[in-house]
Amino acid sequence: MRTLPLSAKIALWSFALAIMTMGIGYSITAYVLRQEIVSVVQQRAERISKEILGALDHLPPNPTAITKDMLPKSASGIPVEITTAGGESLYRTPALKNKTFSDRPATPHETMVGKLSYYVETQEQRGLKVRVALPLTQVDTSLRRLKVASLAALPFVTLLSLLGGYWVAGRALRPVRRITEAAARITAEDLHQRLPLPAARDEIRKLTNVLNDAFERLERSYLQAMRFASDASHQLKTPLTVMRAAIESLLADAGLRPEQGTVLNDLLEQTRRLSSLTEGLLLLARADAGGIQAQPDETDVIPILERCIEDAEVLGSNAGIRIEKDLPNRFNALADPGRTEQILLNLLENAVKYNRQGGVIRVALDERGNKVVITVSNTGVPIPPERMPWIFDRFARGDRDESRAGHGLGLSIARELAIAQRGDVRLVRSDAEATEFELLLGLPGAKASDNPLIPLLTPAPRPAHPRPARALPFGS
Amino acid sequence: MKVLLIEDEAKIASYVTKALTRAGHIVTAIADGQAGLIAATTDPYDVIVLDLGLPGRDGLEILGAVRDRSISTPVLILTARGDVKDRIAGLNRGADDYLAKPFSMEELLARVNVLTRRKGEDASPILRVSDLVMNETTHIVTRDGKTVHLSQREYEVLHFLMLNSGRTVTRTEICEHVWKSALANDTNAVDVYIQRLRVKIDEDAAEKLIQTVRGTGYVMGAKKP
Repeated sequence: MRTLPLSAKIALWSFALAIMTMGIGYSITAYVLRQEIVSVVQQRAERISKEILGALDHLPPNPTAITKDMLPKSASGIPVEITTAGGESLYRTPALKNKTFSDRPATPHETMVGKLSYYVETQEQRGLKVRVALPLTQVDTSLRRLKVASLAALPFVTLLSLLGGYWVAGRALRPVRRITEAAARITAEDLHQRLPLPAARDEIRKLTNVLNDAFERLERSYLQAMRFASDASHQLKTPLTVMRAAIESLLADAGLRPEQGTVLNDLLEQTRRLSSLTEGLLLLARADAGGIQAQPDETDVIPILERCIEDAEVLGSNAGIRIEKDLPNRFNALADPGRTEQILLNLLENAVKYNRQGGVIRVALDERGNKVVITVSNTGVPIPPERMPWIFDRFARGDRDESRAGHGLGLSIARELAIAQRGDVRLVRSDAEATEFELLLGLPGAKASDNPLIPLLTPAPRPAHPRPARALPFGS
Repeated sequence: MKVLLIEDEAKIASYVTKALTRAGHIVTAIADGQAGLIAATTDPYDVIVLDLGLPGRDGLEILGAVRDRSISTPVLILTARGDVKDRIAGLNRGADDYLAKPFSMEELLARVNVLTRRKGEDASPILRVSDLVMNETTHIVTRDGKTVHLSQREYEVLHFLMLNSGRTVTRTEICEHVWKSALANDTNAVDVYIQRLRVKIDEDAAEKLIQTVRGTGYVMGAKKP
């Protein structure tokens, strides 16, 4: 019942109501009909018995016998019994044979004579008791006809109530359906759209107004966030461009002493970091304001991985970090190449940065369901368990060692970039043995609906037991 | 080459003008969108450098108006909006290239050069510095006729050096060009790659092609006596 659409439910309810109404109607009709017929029969019986008494009026008191021809015409063919007040029989209709009227008090009542039900009228006058029995077969016949007619009407009532209920519900719900469709069309792309306001001042109009108000507020905050991102980008990037141009124009100047060159280069590098930080903040602002869109295409992720592994090797060479990889020669995933490279570079850079001296980085690629899972693990100091749930938050870091470079946005940006491609970045485990992150991406051929956007703030699932590392030595 | 620069930030405009002038271009700088539109649609230019966030008229509007008038002058867009969506919108309206702020002046010059060259002769896929030859299409690199095997990153670094041969490039520029600012950490990686390239390209050769400019960066080319 819970899964039925509202219109079907309403149709069923209307059917139940129709059957109930019909039942009540039938009972009332049957009762009234019976009462009506009985009262007609009763009047006739009363009339006939009065006529009989009237016809016998001229007889002397205490007659000994009454013959059929003494009775009025209206009494012919009707069971009649005439007795004295004492009960001595004076006349019986031959058709009565040996059947007797039950000797109830001398009031009108119904009785059974044989199988038929009769109405018996008793009238007393001048020592004569007249009993007239009129059959009540009419009642049975009428009631039977009523029953037959009702049963015949039942399928029509059923059909009419079901279809009618469905139709009425459909009509009543049409504006609701229209609102649902219109509301579904309003996405981050066109938040300025509003639901059409119905002309009738009814509940639907109220609902539409409430929804439109909600969309209004949503649009305002969305636009605010977007405007902030856009304004901030302009405000921050313009001075950065000027700073950069100034530093570069100085650097281009020949006759610069090497120390001056070094200072200017440091400044240039700092503007690059500021730009990259600005870019990261804007990306997160955009992500908060309704998501960053990416069109992941079928991409071979292996060359991207190889490039990033090469970088990790270079970055980790001073610390003696070894890289073990287990990768196929090629593997197509649904990915945006630039963003995927940024994510992997971030994961690998972290794997170098947080690794111990002479540690190992393992990179592996596996298929899991309709996803490809790229795992990057390092043998660094584990992330404290109390920090794990916040590891993807802005400016959150695995440790409080502020001496390490990086602005702490890397993982949250990586995650947003992954979500934008209908993937995700997760922390799989972090223990004495290894700290392991995974990047999930869609597989080509999987339908969009199979790759739903993983909602933000989903806690990363952690297996109870560490999985055995399946990495091969580097270079194999 | 005649370059029309439509940029409302006076300082940025002044640096861009300086850099383009030094590279031998004749620059007309306009700060207002409406005036920029008039200039772009009336005077002939070889390249238009267009800022998107302008007072008076939006850069995209100007771009649309220029293309509506069937003016095919190459347009390089400058913008603080680094979003892919904006980039696509710009390119869809007929922009030829796109540069996000903050940008390096050298990058800007390189892009302007590409746009002016694109209009004329076909760009050859061969880059040559002395006896070092790189084919941009096949990614094959040879030194003195012998093939040099490079990793993807080594190739990218060398490609950038060769594109800018004769000019000192900073570590920051290399970093930005190869890693698109994704490498948050440091530019030490650049030095390591340069070291590796030196081993593969210069070690066995008498003429060393990768020079260190102390305090600044690297330059590709034979050492001047």
